[in-house]
Amino acid sequence: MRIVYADDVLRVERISPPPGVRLFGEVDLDNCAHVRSVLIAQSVETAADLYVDVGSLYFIDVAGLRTLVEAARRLQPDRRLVVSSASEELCRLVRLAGWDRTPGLVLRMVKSG
Amino acid sequence: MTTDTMFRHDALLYAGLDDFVARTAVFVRAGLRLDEAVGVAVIEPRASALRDALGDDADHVTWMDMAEVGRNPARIIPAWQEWTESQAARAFRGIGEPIWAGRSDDEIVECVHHEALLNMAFADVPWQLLCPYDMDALGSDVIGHAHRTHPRVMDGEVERDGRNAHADDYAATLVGPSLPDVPEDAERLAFRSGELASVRALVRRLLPDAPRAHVNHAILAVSEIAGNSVVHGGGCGTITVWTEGGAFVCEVRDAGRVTDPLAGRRRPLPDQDGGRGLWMVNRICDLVQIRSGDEGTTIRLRLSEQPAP
Repeated sequence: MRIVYADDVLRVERISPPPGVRLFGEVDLDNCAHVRSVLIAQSVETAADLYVDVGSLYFIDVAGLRTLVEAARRLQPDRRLVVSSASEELCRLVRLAGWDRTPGLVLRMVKSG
Repeated sequence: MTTDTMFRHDALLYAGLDDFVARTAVFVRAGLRLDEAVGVAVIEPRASALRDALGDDADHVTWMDMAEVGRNPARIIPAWQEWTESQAARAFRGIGEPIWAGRSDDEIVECVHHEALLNMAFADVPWQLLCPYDMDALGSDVIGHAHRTHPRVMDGEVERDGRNAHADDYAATLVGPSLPDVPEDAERLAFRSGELASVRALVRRLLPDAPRAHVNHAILAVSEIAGNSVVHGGGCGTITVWTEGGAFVCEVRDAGRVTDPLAGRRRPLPDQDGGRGLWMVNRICDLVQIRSGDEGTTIRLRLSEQPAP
């Protein structure tokens, strides 16, 4: 684990394996570039699926969701971007935005218990 | 062009429940006889009364609860679009009652805009939409608007010419009428790029005891509108927030300009870049009022504690 970005609003930790990031706090239009750049870096470093753990994220706006959607689209067709520990609310927002069928984007809901 | 290739948007002026049922049932049955798909979006008690009157025919109608679909009037056009597009080659007709007694003044203003914008959204779609107006319960000003937003008005047994749709009418929905004054004790904050987190903090401060889902929706809606100011509105804006009868109200002003009267009413395509912020805000909020001109753009949102659909 390595912190690649941190301020009062957002902390981005790089995880591996599996390769990906863990997000803490809030992702928005102002800071989504920090998430984008680390996902781009990881997508070229490995050929595996990428994981984005959002279990400690308590806010994401449409620009933040777009960052995840675009990262999923950039991956080769046999790779996936797995958003793990997604809340029901986040899944609902992805549906409302019309991104729930984005190729390569997998949402894994929070498991209880 | 013949009328068959155009959108036919009629107001139906009725007097009381029995008159409503008698006249809408004729419209529904005429559609079913022609093997058209028929969609009905009205509120109670009229939905149940029409359903009862139609008997078995009611099973062939798509029923939409207008109280739900139309809680935010800006959600009605996309709902009709989704339904009409699902009909494929089949002809279709609908009944939509966006305005009822009990709507607030602000809602009625936006419903009148919605009625005008239906003419724009469906200009090239050949179907009939009948919009019932209750003469017994609605004010004469509301009925006057019905005459101006519908090319044809069925008034009793008389069919009158209303006003044909005009591009100026669409643009006018972004201009006025002006919004009621902001309360003097409302909290105000200027923001610019890089400060969206402080905008969200302001909303959290205003709603310390509200249910989490309500706060989350308010924060998302505000974030999207403020984000639009950052991207399209000159990089900065001013937000004012207050509560009103249990509802969260927020107004964002910036130097940008909204020019598309249907902004936020078009379902975004999956690979479309922009145009999602206002769409999402319309899904979440109960009322969204956009006023835009040379002096900039003001967007006012209202969100009650009722969970969004």
